[in-house]
Amino acid sequence: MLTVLGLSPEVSLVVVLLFLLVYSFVAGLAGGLFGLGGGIFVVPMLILVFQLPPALAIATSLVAVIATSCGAASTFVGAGIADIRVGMFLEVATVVGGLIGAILTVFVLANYEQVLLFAFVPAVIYPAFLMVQRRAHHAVPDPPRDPLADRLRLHGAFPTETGTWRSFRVTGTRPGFFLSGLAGVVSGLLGIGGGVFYVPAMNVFMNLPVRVASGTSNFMIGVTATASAIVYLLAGRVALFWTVPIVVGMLAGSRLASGYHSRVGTWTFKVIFATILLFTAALMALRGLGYLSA
Amino acid sequence: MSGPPPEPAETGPPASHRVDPYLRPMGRILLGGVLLSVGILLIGVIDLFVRGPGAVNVGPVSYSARGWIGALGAGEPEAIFLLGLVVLVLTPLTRVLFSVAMFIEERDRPFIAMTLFVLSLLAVGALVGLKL
Repeated sequence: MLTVLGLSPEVSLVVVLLFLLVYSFVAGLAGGLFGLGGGIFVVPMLILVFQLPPALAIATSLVAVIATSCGAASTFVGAGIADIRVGMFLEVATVVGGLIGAILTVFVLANYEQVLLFAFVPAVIYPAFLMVQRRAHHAVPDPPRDPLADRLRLHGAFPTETGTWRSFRVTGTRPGFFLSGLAGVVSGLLGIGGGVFYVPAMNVFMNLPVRVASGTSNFMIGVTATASAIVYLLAGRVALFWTVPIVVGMLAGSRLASGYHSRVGTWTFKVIFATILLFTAALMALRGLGYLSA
Repeated sequence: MSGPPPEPAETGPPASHRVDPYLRPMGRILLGGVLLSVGILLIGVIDLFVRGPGAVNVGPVSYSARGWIGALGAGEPEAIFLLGLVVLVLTPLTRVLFSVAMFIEERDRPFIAMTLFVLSLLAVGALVGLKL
């Protein structure tokens, strides 16, 4: 039985579902527009507002991340913007990472909640920091030669707004692979999408144009989150009730966001969301120190 | 394929990326699977409302395979939710299987290997989850 704010069970149910739906919609929208998964907004909310144990919140968020990622990736893949080959190559690393992260949380860290809570602090501050960066990294036409990229034929092309195809050369397979693997661990560990790490890994280190990096990241997040979610689901660690409104809300929000493609935005929105993220980091730290719990 | 990049003025995809036939179905699989999953979840929500707030379970839910089938037959909302989530999880998995087919048709050995490796990792994840 679920009651909130002293309301009757029936009304509480509706209130909770509506709140989760709307919140997740905004999270999915913000995530889609800013290149974050929604997980980074959802996990703290479940822990701080509904007092879910961190491991449960993480598992719930991951399932929703799958939905969001597939919803967004369907658009990018169909349009030829997601690079399947680079994505598949990096998924080898991210899936290993995702499994490791999930296993760590389920089997080890579920009993050490503080570790998870404090781990959230840098994971939330880093995207906030990235969001207020002004410089964009442009892909260069002639990056350093990368034999593995050549051998695996990772170099590609993408359709621009005008309909012409622009090609790009891929480099930095080693740092890209390694960083993606690390990002996968963080994703499985904390229930976030990891896109905030994948996109810079591909754009800055591997020389993918930002649009392609974003599209490919969406494509990768789904499989990585699936790897982690499989562990959580089959271990019976997912709270099904919570996932439902979150999946629906986040999917709707991210679908709306993908209609706007690449850049959003205004500086003001970015600052607002970055501030919210910093605030969240502070709350998670406080919770880790023992405050703010029921 | 690893020669100098084509001129930006080209109006079609370069030879290395003529995999168009696969991209749209792949996109459709992703979207279709997700929408099906959401549909099932919504049926579960309706079921939940029909049964009343007493049917809400806010904690983690775990079924044995047989228990789940039974619960589905009894129309329990949690079992329906689980079905929706299983469909959701199967969606990227289906997409990876599709990728294997794509790479097999292109006879791209390294990528066939990579994709099969990823699939086996997902199976490992399932086994690890079941262990506990």
